[in-house]
Amino acid sequence: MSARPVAQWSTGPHHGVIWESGLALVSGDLPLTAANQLWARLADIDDLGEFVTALADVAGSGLLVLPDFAVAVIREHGDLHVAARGRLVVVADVPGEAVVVDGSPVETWTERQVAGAMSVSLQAPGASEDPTDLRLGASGVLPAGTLRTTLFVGPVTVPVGGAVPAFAARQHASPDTEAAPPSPGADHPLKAATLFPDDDIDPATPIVPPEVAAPATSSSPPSPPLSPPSMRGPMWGAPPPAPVPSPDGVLAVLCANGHANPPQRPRCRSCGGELDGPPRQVPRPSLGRLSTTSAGTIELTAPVVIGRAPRTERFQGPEMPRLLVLTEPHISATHLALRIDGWSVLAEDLGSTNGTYVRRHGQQPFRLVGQPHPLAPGDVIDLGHGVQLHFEELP
Amino acid sequence: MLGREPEIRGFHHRPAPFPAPFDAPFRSPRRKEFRVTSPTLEVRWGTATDVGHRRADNQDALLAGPPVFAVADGMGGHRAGREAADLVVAAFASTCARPWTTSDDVLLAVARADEAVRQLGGTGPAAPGSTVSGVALACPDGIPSWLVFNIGDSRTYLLRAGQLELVTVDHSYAQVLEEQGCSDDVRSRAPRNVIMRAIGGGLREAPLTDQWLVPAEAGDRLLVCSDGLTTELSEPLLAALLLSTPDPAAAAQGLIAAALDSAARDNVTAVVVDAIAVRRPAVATAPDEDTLPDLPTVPR
Repeated sequence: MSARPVAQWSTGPHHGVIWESGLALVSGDLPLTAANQLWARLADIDDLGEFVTALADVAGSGLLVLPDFAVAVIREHGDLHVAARGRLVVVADVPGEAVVVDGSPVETWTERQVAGAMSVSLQAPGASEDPTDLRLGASGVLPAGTLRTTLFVGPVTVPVGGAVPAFAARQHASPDTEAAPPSPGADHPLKAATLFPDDDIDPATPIVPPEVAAPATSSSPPSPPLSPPSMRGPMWGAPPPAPVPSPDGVLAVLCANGHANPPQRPRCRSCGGELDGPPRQVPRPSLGRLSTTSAGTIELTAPVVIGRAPRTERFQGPEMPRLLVLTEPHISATHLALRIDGWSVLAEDLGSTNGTYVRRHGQQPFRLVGQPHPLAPGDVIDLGHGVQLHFEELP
Repeated sequence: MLGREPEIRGFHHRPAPFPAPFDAPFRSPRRKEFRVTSPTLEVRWGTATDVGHRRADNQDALLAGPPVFAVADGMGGHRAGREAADLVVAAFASTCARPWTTSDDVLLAVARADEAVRQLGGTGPAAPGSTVSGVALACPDGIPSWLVFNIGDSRTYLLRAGQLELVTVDHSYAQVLEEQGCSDDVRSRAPRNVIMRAIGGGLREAPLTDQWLVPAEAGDRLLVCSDGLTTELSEPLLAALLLSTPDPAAAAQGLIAAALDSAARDNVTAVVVDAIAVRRPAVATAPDEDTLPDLPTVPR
């Protein structure tokens, strides 16, 4: 967050758009109503990509035919992410240099990361040379040829409220709030060199945090001073929870023919043989078969994702989830998942449009909502219009 | 450094027919005739990489050619980062040699890479290490698919139907903060160059490999890139450049050029892979006419 003590402006044919985290000049080809819509969407936006997405939305044009624009998204300490398309340009003043970003040579637009700018201006060719102070507010839309703002370099001392309605709340820029001098050493306090004072490490080199690193030999680097205690917990080094069950083995009782069965079963689910041996850990066997009317039969050896164009969630292997494609148009792209937990097969609807229903002997069919639901032998999942999943030999 | 052309490559691969069981044409004894085709994923690709404006050497390595497309971003002082990245790429190249890859192959490649990088020596945060992200061609259940994998903060995107989607999840400090629901303000202060998972890098154990399986569609375009690209450019610009440049080599070059127009503080690498043709083995028949749906699904 950065406060702008003063903005300057000259009139012109384009839309000057000012919001809390940035300023933009958008071609007057964009209707004023769309420019106002753009401004309304920018209130919480502090990312250049989100600005471009919002502009594409209000222009209704797609990314390849956007109106010309120049934009500066302001971060801390005079760091900017700027972009220019077409005839509009961005000029950022950094000590000893004027950085000009001109998008005219490319078909899309040009972006640039600028560090430590003192001021930034957005310009159209032929705009009047002498912008005047803008005494209207911190946020709004106005007809403009040039927009310019100085930037605080150093600690932000003037809080700026949230976006205010265009020109409704007047927040006069007074000379007192202007030009707080840069405080030496205040810029970039977060450089990695501060965290890991090791001259051999290039600050741009990715660094693995010491919490997950092997013990250093003699000089352990200090912990990152910025980590609040809540972030030092198990997330460090611990992998995010795997969304699919682990492929580890299960506790099983084997029949005379070597079929693995859940320990509580009296008879083998495959051959009906006696089960009287001791339980032992075995690699998880197939938990039965899933047969479909149109897409064949698959063994339940791994989680299954089912849909018109099914995609898995994140998994960590080595077991690859299986994909079952059902081409019927009333099936959602990713419709439901079969998960495996120990000896159980669980079905979970993944927010499908037309729903997932379970038919179970002696019960009313019911719709799966939310949590994964354990399936029983003989269950049929009904996806409507005759698409059924039959489960055989479930444990 | 300035004024030098980035290194650019482009290729087209038309795979040989996959062997049986899918290969043999099958003729039904009755009136209907089926043709069972082999699953095919025909790809075209291009790559580009550049050292950038600030760094002395390029520690990014890339692998491009079926069945694996990957970017490894090396870390560690002096030349060790580049060596680590090269070892990662070499492990993937030697492990994933069959036309179709599996999750097992990817995990084996990671294990071999981790072993090799460890042998470079070094401890603590300065130990040599590497990220890796990319896509392997897989064919589970006869469905030609993208098997996307990631360790670290390099990324793999999918451009499909005009929409650019980030498939991978960064193993970065910033991502951890985001998953913990920290405010934008806290996240913006987080150092950007700290990663939570890596191959080597002084970590005690070999890393877990995040994977995603996405059935391929003709017209899909994948972008595998190092963080030198994504810290410089917004995602809409990545999308616009990918959408406006049909040739994958030219698209990779355009991305690198845009990063060089920005600050290019880090090495920057892009691999662009296009699915030219996707064929699944023809199975079964169309559904009966009277079961055609009346509730079209909203694409998700």
